[in-house]
Amino acid sequence: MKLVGFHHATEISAPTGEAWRYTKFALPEEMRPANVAASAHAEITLSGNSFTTRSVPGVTACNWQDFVGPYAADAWAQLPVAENRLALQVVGDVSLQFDVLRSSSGATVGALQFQLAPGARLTLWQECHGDAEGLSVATLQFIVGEGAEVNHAFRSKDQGNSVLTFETQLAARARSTTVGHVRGTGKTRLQAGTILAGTEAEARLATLMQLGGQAHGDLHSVFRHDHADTRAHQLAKNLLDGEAKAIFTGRVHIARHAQRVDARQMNRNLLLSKKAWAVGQPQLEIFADDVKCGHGSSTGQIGDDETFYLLSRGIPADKARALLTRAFVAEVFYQAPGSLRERLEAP
Amino acid sequence: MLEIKNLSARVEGNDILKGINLSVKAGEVHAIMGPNGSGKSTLSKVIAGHPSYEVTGGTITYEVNRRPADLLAMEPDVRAKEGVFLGFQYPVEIPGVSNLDFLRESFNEVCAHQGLDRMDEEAFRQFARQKLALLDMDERFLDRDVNAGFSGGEKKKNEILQMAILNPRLALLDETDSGLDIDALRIVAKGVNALRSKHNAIILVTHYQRLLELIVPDHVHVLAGGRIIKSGDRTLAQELEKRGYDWLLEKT
Repeated sequence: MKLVGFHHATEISAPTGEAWRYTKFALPEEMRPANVAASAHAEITLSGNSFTTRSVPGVTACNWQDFVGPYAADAWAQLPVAENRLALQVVGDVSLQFDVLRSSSGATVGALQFQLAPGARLTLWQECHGDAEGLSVATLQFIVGEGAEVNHAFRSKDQGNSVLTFETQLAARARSTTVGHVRGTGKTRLQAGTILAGTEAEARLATLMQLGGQAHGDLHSVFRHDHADTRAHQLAKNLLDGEAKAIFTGRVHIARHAQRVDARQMNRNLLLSKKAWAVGQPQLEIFADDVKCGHGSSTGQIGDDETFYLLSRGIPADKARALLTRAFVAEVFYQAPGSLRERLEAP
Repeated sequence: MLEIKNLSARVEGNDILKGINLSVKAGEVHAIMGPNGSGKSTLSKVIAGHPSYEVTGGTITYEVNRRPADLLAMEPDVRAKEGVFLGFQYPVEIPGVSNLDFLRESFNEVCAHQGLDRMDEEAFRQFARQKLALLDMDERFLDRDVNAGFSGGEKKKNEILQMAILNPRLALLDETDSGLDIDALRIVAKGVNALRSKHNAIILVTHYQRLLELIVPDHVHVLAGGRIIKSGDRTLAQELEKRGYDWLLEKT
């Protein structure tokens, strides 16, 4: 299945307000209505160009289901409209790959929604590529039925600008894991909104933004605990070199009746250069009184104690630094289950 | 083998060591005991070359190729390659790097420095297996990541495994016995006793006499306020166990 489509740029205005305080996107030239035809090679493909919904057992096209997630009012997340979005229903145990490919100076706008039947299991690998010019806007939604499970990993190597939005809604005993690795030299906005809507729903989100040069990465996440006995675990790591900037805004909302929630959030920034810059802002909105909610943030360089440990084993300073950087990265990938972890670890 | 003369050192602006004198010969086991904050850990870190510790006076002479060399002039990784090993009180976790790869990297760096051939993965695994067997340790240790998710006892055992593999001439064990149950303590003692020979020297930094029942030291030193205030044989450790440190501290 191949999806190609463009929204008319005249309808887009960049969102403003606190959530977008650090990241602004200019509309690329090519998205002006006059140039749309010229950039029509931009595409979103599923498992390569030859994918059809019939070719994957357990996956069928279905009607798009609107749900009011944390980014329902976000102009970029809602950019993909009817002609460039696709809804798929998943039953049984399904493994898929989803690529966002953007060719030179093009712009891509697309949305994909997975609706998981109760007990279904989806393993999804997503790659985003693009070169220096242009903008990718991709929205991915998971509506996860009772006891169903999503394991999702993505890798973004876009050299241009991109806005990636993930929205997940979990029914009772549903589970989701998203693990992502963002590299690149452009500007990336990640948005991850999770609604824990049923008892014992569990969500994990782990991201690594590995940025150098002038790159700019902005992770905005929301976990909304609408039900009691739900769990969420977030690890937001940034590895920054050159003059790279990373922003993390993590909102955790626990409704008044959502008792016994367990919500964890950790943000770690490793700065490899003096000019790299990171900011972290946890936003905790806790209205229930019997909850476990932990968050932490650290920003620093590779520590003397860590380096000394390796030096004291005869490993020279440059190798020690490389090994410790690898260790910082590895913790994120470890959050992904087996097959996805291997893909994240592959160069 | 190791000659420390009038050594003083500071960390973060605080003077910790204030004139240490210590002479260690090949074949000897020394125990360094003392109350918290006396400078025991600092001494072992200064010998191994931790960059946060500034030596403000004195010398450390270490025998390299049967000749005295200035240990303080060597980079920490060079000290390790010349046979100095520090067993850490708080070993560092390195997720994403397997114990096998880490140990082989370390071992091969030391071999290369000493003009020996590097070992390939299979040969090294065989070699490491022998060391594991010696320590009654599970082979799965090799495939786990370095200290990642290890219990306190497992981390200490891993330090002893590293020591067994690197076969140092001078082993400094910084409170390797703290927080260990009796089984783990036996493994630590086994590793140290296996290393003990007329060519090696061992310095144990410890709070407790119980380790010294399993590894019998030739010399026991009491460190307090940055100085060695008392030296003796193994009976000193037994006396400290009975009487504590106060009687010594009052005298000085």
